[in-house]
Amino acid sequence: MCEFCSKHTRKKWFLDPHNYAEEMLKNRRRKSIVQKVAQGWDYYLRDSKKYVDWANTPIIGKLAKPFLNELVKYEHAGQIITLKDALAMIDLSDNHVVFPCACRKLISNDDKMCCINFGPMRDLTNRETKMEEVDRAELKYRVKEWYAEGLFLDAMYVAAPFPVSICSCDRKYCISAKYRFDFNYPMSLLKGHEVAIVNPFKCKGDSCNFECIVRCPFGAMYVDKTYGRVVIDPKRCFGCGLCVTACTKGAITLEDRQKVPGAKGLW
Amino acid sequence: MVKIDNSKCLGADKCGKCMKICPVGVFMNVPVGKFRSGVEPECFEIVPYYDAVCYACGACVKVCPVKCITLQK
Repeated sequence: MCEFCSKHTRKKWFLDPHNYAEEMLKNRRRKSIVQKVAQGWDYYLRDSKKYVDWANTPIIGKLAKPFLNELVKYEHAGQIITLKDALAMIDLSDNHVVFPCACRKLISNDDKMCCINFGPMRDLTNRETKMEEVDRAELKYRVKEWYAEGLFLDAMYVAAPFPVSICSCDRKYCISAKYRFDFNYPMSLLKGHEVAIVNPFKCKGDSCNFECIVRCPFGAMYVDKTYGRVVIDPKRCFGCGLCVTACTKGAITLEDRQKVPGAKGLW
Repeated sequence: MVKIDNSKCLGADKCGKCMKICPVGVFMNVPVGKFRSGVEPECFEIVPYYDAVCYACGACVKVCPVKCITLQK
């Protein structure tokens, strides 16, 4: 269980129905951020820019890093989830709408409609860009398609633990991933609750072109060249589960993070 | 450091090649001047927003049709 789960609930935070309740919006700060995120530009360009500036400040940026990292959980950030959890989240939430992904729009001027929003987002948004209301069955179909394409899924919250959207991201475009890897704010994209494990008896890497390594967006896998099989570094694995779908031999499985000694407590 | 001469740049809607070719996503298409939330901005420009992560591969310089990007190592 990650920090949000152990602090607020006993389930995974994004699977707890209480977190989806409208009462969560009584928190004023949370409501103002939800409004900003729903309306697009402002949040991504002005509010989150200050974290980049802080990270680039020579001395203060380094000293205050742990403190700034803690601040991120009161903003709009996320955690990697598996396909199964994403489908469960779609069942739990309502008022689903699909937007063009804001990160892709900003970084590559690309209009891919792959940002699932729910809860208060539909009513708060008033931007003139396109928005599509989609029912659950169609949404699940699309999520599976994105996952098959090789996009990792993450559950985004506003002021944890209030889930507002499911992103299907790519490492280059995802602004959350940028903050984690390039500006060193681990809180902005937490690792998932699972870790991928390779069964060394089943993995016959050299006969399948290492399709799992091609799909890993986090560079957590490498090849043991002596025996021609795949090794997963548990410290780098984010538990998105994309490698599991690529394996034709069924050699990769997802395990609970807290039960794997090499990855325990790493978020 | 990447620098874009925005007076020459064609903009993301007409061209946007540098944004697509960049391997780390340095560029961002941002509204010009002041913008208010909830109002769709009219005028955009491409800015090297995340230039802290640029590794100067020079792909954007090669791909730019009007040669408005300069790279300083």
